[in-house]
Amino acid sequence: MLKIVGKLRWYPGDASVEIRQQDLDKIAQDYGVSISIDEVKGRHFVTDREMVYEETMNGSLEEITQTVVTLVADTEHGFRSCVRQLIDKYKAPRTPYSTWGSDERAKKIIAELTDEWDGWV
Amino acid sequence: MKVLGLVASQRKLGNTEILVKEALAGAEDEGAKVEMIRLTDYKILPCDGLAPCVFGNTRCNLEDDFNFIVDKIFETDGLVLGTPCYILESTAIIKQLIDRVFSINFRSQARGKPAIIIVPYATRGWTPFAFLQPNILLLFLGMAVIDRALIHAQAVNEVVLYDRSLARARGMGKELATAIKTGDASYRGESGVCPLCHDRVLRLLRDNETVECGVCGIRGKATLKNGKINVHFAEQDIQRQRFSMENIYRHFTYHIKPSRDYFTKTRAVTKEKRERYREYLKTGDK
Repeated sequence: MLKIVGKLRWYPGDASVEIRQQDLDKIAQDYGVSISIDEVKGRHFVTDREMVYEETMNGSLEEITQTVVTLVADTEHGFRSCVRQLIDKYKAPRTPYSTWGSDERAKKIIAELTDEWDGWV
Repeated sequence: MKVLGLVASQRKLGNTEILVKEALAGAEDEGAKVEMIRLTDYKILPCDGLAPCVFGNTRCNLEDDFNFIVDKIFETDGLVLGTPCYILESTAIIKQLIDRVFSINFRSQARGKPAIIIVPYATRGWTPFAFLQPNILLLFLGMAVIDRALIHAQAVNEVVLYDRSLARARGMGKELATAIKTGDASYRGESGVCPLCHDRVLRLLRDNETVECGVCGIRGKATLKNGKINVHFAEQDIQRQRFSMENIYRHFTYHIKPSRDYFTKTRAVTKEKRERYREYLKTGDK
């Protein structure tokens, strides 16, 4: 059975609460999936009138500051249940490219669930 | 001390212009140097959505008077925004400005400056969203709305019949000038439900528990007590308001700019798939 691999990307300020591995572990345990977290720190910062800000226009979307949660599931049921939990807890990631890096099946499932659960409407 | 009045009505010397002039006269009484701009006298094109302002980190490049208007707002110390209420909300030129101030990103030079909103309207009960667009515009610019007024007047120049309304506008102009002089840009108008924009327009979210001020993006809980609806916004939720400089910066930095890379990554697929729409219902070039 092919595994379903999904990546969800929350950018600074997007998640309603801090995303922590220990909380993800509980969700993973409940649904028999594997969840890992990757805190990406952006590399391109500029200073403009005493403000330091990240310039995200020219680089790759994988390299900007974000929290990437990777789910790997053996079953669609497990994957769906997990994504629903994540949306409930953190609100859905906000951009069309928030699932970049997911396999196509994962992207479809996440799109369906975020339209349904969202957290923003 | 400079105060700028913006009139969002096509009518010359209509109710909106008269009320804005009263407010400016009030500011002038307090020592302000005043100026008025009728927005509809200027060319303000719709945003074309191509966003060189974002992807080129430049000012808006459309050839019209928008940047002139923005520079006037940035130069002033306080702002009077007057718009009539047309079909439940302000006139279209306010929305046009909202779309275009996108080009300012988080770099507004009007942040913290006080403003007032004056809205003449014709029919009671037809003004639920009267302050929505003016609030969006001013809050995006980071301005501090210190007061706002709905003024009941309908026919051309009718407001001159109502001394109380004229006095209200004048008083607001005086308050605006005082706010500039003292540095106290706290809100002193009628209280609303949202602690930020002071409006009473809330969204009930799908969970049927959470309410949200759609303008400010802050969420709270609505409860029923003694038959009255009570809405509470926790401090941490108020901090998440969408128009703080930090959150506008985040919006552009993480929600908009990376779309360029996503566009590049998906270009081959979108280019192929869009072709089926090219000839279907094609409209002729004019």
